[in-house]
Amino acid sequence: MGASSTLLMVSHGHCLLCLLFSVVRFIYIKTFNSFDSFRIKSLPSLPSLSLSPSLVLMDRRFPFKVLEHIFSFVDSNEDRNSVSLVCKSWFETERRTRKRVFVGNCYAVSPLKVARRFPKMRSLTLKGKPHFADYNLVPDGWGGYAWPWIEAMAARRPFLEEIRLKRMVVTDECLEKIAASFRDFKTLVLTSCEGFSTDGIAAIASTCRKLRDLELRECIVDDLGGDWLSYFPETSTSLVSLDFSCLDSEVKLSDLERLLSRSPNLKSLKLNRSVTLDVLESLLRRAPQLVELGTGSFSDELDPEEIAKLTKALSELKQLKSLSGLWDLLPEYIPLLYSLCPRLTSLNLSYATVQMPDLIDLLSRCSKLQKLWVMDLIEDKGLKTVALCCKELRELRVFPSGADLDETDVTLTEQGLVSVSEGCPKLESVLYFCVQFTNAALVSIAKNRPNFRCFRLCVMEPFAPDYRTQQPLDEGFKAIVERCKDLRRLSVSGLLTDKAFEYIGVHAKKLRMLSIAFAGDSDLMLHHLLSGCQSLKKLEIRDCPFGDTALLENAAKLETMRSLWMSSCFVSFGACKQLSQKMPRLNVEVIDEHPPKTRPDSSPVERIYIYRTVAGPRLDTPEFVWTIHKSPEVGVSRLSIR
Amino acid sequence: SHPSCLVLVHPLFPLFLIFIHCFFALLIKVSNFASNSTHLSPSLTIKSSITLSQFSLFCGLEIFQMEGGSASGSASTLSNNENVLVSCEDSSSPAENELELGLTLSLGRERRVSYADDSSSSSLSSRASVTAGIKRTADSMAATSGQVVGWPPIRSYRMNSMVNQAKTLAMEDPIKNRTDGTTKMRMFVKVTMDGIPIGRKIDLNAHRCYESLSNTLEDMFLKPKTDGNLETRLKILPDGSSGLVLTYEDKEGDWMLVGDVPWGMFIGSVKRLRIMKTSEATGTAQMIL
Repeated sequence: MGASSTLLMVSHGHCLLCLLFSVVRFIYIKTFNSFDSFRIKSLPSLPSLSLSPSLVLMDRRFPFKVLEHIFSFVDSNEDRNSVSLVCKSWFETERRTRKRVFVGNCYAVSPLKVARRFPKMRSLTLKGKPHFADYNLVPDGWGGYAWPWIEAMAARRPFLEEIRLKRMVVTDECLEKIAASFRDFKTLVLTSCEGFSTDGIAAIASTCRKLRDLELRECIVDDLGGDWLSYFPETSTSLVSLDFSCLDSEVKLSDLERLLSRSPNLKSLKLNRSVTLDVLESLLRRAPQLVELGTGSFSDELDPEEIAKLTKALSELKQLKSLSGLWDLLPEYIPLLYSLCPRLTSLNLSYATVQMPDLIDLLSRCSKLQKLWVMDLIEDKGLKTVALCCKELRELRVFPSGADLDETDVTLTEQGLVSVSEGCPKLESVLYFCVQFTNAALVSIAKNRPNFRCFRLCVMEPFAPDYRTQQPLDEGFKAIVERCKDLRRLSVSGLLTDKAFEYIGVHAKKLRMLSIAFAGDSDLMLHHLLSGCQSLKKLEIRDCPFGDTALLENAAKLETMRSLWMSSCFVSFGACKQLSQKMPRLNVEVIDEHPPKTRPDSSPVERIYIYRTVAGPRLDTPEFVWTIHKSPEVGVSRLSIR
Repeated sequence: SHPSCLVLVHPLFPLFLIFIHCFFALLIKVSNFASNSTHLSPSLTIKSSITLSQFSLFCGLEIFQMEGGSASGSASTLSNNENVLVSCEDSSSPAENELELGLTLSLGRERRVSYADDSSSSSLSSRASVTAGIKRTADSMAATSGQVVGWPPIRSYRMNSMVNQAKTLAMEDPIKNRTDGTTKMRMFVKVTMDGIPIGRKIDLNAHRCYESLSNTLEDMFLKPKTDGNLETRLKILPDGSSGLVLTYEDKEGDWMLVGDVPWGMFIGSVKRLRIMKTSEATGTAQMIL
């Protein structure tokens, strides 16, 4: 009996020792935080954050608090990403101090991992569908659901304050969950989102007491009426920015007036089209502190007394810097805006169907203008005026006015862009829709303005050559990429051969996003791009005649990029399978009506979307999207778990 | 034999406990390295420490019970402990799947295969919705511009408002004077050719006669790679020599052969051009003639 009892005590003692050992180890890990040797992963596109060996060794003695303080000065997420690759302790410190999280592709990582990795997260930015979804190339129901993210954040990060979503599907349940779960919720910005109704907005308005920004930019909303505006709390609100320009239905004027009266902090207000001109005056009277104003429809008939009152109200907006909206702007109302012009830095006339001579009067007064969005009704003459008067211009976008693009009556040619590039020394971002272009124009634009960061030229006629020389536009784009060393974003169009892409591959070293349509001759084009452009992150291609070889040869490049979209090209199903087996951390998704299994390997697929991910194949694919599987026996499957 | 069984087991048992402890620590470390998710290790080791302490607790409890039990029960209790360990892990990590790396991979694969089988049977029934999903976008684009899907690249939001504005502009057109002295410098019409999906645009005001128009069209559509192939000239003459014939759609919507009317009349009534094969054209030509 004695022996067994001592043995019993020994085994109890052993259990206690085990417990003690685990506890000691736990405390050791928590305080000292050091396991392995330093592991610096080398990625090709790391910005240079060079560390001398002495500094690297020294950090063993830096306590967490010091590192935390140093990292608080590191703002940009790219720098923070490189910081977290240095060593374990830096990774730990950085992840615990990151407040603003940006996820460029919502399927690249699982929401759970993000939630657990960043405990102090306060702001989340997500992007869902590929960029070509804006142009109806991605069928409805493709994905990009916000719900898993919102659910994960609601459960784990209730202190989240800002959510910004772009091209995602947001439902009313998501909005209600946001309203219910995040106590200090401040900012909701939805760009090009869809799937929700005004009921969801009402939920946000009523429940989020500290709401500062509510912006719906170009969303597709199921509009059930204008009541949502009355749901804002009756006491003084903390609203700073309100944008409901994409909604259709009318809001009650009294609701809007009362909201403006009790929102003393409101700086940015963008009304929707149904707000008529006659009520604008009473709204502006209540919000003279506005910095950004998006008017409603600007086309009503006003009597002289109302016009005078409106002029006075507009001149009272002493701090207004940005003006937009201006739907159906009538020429006789343009003088009303003259008082605002000298201070304006941003003017969006892309919905104002104002013709030429009236535009000149307006634009010649805007000497501080930095951002101008306008329709091609401005014509070459108007752009000459812009070049003369708006010397501070940084961003110019010229949209086509004719919906039926068979009729182009306006004389907007390449000369317009040439004159703006000559006259505006700070111009760095251009989006230009034009019917035809010349190489000479592109060369002179590049010569005049080598500081372009974003150059998007859309020659609206596919395969259009230089209309003077009938040559492809290769030389023009060569000049652009050669001279503009800082070019980050480029969209090419017109007739282009493989040579153009050879130039782009050789010269465009900082290019991050490239969009191509109806261009190229062969596979070489893709090969030049993928082997050349070092910083390339997003590549989207449609209707170009290339196939499998270049894709498979440069498969390793795809893991350094965020995504690749190809539609109506000659990529075969067999190549997709090979690619998927070669690169396990890519999701190769095929969008096709016919199941790929029923077709031979050599048949081309309609659209493929390839993106790097650490979350594996996604589980919410619809019927027309197939994820090519890594293992050959499984082949292709639809992982739809509803 | 009761005390002798105890003697047999007890000296080995603590060593066995230590062995199991080290085994699980190694397993976690190995799976750690295999998945390359090193940032999870702090939580993993916390988890492992907790589970190990739970494990040792359970072992202690088993020893309590073992005092009165038989020798053969030891192996089964050990295996029970393993199951208990696994279920401990499950209960302590409800939605986290990093620990069960090996398990989930295999389970997941089975799950996926079964879904693949399900998909093939249901694909037929869902064919209609699939086509609807893709055709829907094509229809929406066709409604707005009647051209290629997604071209020119303008956001659908803006495209819709442009359509609305075009309607209001068209209504205002008779009121406003569009011909206010600015001469129409260019007159673009669309030209399509059978077999080429994308149409081109051509400025008719740049030409004065059918010859130059025909030359320009040849340059556009028939690539000069086929050098010296002069047989493809004279498209406008429907004499069958080129195999192609040029037709146009006039204001009434009828398709006519190009070349029958004087140039001035042609310019005034043409809306778009089409290059079609002679075989197709003979039918229409007979209808018109």
